[in-house]
Amino acid sequence: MAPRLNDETKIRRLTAEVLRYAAQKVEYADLLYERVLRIELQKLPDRVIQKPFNAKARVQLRLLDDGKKVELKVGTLELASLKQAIDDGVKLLKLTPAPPKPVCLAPIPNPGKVHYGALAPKTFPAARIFAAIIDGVESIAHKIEHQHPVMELKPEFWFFSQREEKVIADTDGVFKTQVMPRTFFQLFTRVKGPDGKMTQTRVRLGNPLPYSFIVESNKNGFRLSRLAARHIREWMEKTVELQTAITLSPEEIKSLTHLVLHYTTLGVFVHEALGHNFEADIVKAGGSGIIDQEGKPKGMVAAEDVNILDGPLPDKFDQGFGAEFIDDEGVEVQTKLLAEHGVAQGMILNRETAAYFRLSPNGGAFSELGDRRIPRMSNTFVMPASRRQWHKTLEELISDIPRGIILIGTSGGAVSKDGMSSSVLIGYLVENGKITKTVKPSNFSAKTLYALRYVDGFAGPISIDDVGFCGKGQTKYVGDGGPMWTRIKNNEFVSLSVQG
Amino acid sequence: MELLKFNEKVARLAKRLRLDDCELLVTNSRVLSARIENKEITLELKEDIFSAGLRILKRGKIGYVPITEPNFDLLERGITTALVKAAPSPLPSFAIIENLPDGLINFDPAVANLFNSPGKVQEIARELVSRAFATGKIETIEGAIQIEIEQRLVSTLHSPEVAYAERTGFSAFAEVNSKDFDFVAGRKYPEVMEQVIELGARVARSLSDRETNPEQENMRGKKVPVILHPVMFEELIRRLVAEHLYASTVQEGMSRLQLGERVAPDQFTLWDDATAPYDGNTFPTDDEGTPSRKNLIIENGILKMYLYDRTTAVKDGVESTGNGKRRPVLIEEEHEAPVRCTINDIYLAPGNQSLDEMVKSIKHGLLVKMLLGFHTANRTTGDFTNPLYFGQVIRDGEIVALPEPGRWALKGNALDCLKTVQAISRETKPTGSGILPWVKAELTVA
Repeated sequence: MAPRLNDETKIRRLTAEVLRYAAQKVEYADLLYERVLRIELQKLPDRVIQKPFNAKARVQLRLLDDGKKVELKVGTLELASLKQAIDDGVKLLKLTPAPPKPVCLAPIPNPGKVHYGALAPKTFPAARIFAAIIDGVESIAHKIEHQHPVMELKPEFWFFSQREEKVIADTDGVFKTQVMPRTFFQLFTRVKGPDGKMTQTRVRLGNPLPYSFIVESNKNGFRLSRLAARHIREWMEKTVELQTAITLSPEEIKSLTHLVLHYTTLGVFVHEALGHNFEADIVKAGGSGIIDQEGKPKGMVAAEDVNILDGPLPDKFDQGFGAEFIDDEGVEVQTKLLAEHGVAQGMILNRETAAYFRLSPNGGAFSELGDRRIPRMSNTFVMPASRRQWHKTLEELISDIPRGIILIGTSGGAVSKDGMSSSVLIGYLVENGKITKTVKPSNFSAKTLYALRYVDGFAGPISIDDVGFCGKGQTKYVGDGGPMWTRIKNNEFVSLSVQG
Repeated sequence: MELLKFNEKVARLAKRLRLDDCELLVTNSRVLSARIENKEITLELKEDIFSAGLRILKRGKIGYVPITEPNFDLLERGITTALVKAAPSPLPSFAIIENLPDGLINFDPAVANLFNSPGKVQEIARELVSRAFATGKIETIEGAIQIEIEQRLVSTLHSPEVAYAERTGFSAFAEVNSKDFDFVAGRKYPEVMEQVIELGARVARSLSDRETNPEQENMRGKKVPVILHPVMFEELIRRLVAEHLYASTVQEGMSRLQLGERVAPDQFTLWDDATAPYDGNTFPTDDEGTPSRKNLIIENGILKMYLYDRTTAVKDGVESTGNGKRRPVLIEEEHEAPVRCTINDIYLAPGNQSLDEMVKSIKHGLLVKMLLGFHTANRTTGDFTNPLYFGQVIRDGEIVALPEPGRWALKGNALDCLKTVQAISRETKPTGSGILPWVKAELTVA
């Protein structure tokens, strides 16, 4: 059973009164109230910041009248503030020019269902969690420094675990709530070598789960989970390894026959290169390189063996940092098939763009605390369309590569209309089917329509737990991924440049 | 929300809870914007966006309490919880706020009036769109006009004064055909509103019809002269160079810069400031209550100082330079971000060449306005390698083409790039967080 808000009755009464007031003034209004209770720990180079209490809340109000809309962000859920905002919004509505096409909202499917979510802690043993993380990270760093006595390790990290609550209500009587946990850990490691050379990496773990996947309790108290400890150790070691990494010249890059992307590199690549182009507001504005302004897909965007999806993995709502049960308009989040067998198919919709393109909303509307609700990705991932080129291991996948590169990790990416950029943390040169050298951080960019056109193999299981904070004027938690490894034939539309 | 009254109530609560000291940063803002999406203009309003970040001291320990509602039950719960897990404090007490700089200018009544005239804002947006489309060169246009009124207060428990200001903000931008953009940003009403109305049309008219790639230009793998737009150069300084100016980086032995070292050519003089009229960070103090000031960081190419907050200043036995700001690690809002060394508004002294002369001086190179995903650059080393997002190709002293999307990337190192500076323009542009000229330097086409 989905968990409830503590003060649901009070909030329901208040939102009903606000919406009754709005209904006297406009044809339609809806409201989103979001609040977060978070514990947070930050280790910076010279200080540790512990926040066992961080409370945030905002309201978004939307008014529709006469084919026009106004969106209002309000600081507090108080009757007087909200009524004032409605009055101000009505004035703005009168001044708003009529858009080329009247604004409509597609109806909310399943309007009678109220409660959604997963169990989330109401209180946190912050002191013990923080101590376990600090001790755990320091202990791993000391062990690695002991193994490499000439290296200085400088770990920084950021951890938060939170309870999220949201309420969506409208003048048609819809009232929906969602309660979710979400936990995040990021390690940023810098290493200074004996000659003063500096290297850095970043690794993230995040899921819509309570803190127990990062810090677990046993009879002796709290300690880092095995999963967290493994990732921390692995990436600290990679930062040391980068001290002896090589760079590649443009000629050497041109001679590569294949690029093999770890799911942590592929995820950001797919998110940036393709994902944003499926967001219906970008499509409507003419900013998509994949779907034209009328909503008509432009055709092939990937190899025939590639499906691209966004949403939760079917029946697995506890995976993927961007997972939610309902979006911020109260629409249940669906797994959206964006491209099938390499051909663009669907879009990520909010209620407004769904009505605009005469489609049904699919749960893609999200906002950052009180901001306007726009189409956003949640968890975007590649799924092989068949098992034809899907190998079991990386060794099998690279065995016939004469000269290639394996790319792992990311420090983020960005998108433009026709291109994208994604930063890679570490690379490995493959020569005659074997890994031979470590390669410095690089940047991977591509022309949108050709980004995944040359995929010719996969290996390993699907994972969508790469973690991101997508910025599109407002920040959203997202996950991404795909098969553990994806192989792309080098081609003129992807471009790799290595630092150094 | 009356911030001064809120501050008094916080002080009373701090005394009741027997805190040794308490530092408060509180803001309350209202934002009116007209968003432009092709021919569609949408008005948006943000009202009473309240945020408060407290740092508290008790028995040598420090705690952070961020909240977004002026709710004292919540605040008391936050303080009590923070005290349970407060960390040892590097600071014995917070700053005593006094002798604040007089006459800082960051409120323009004309902008405040505009906030109360949303009809006029909408008309400006409509005119901007209409003129842009009249050029006949618009496929898509995105933009916004934004007006902000913000109250901001910094206080500490034992200070005779509080730092308080009401600040206005005005900004506008237009991006045309996803190929180029222009903007105005600051805290005052534009001297010539015509410049705002013409933003989209001006960009549209300047767009070249030709696109080219590095192979056609025979630039792949080569080090080429580049003119860095003020926005790009500020990014380079703020994201990468500043990291090596922070006392925190120096104290842990990770800065590549040494005092007295030549870090740029002779004509290069850079300072940071939080006192300049109508600029982004202009306020009587930093976020710790240290009075704001102008810091001459690089003079004639020589590094003169590092930037300190109070914590790093205590360690080195010096005064804070007024650079203790709440700077997010990743996505935190200002009030919940940690206080740490942070550069204020960035100023680079203009040079003696015109931008036109700088372009003419280049046989084969690029004008770089924005690199895609620059936030992912390596702040530890200053290395970057990123696709060219907005820019222009220069051949034989003339701008001849746009870079073909997805085909160009530039790489370099921000600290090394400073040493390759060859010219600085006479013209400058306010970016909203400083005023900078165009800079000619060298980067490699990756």
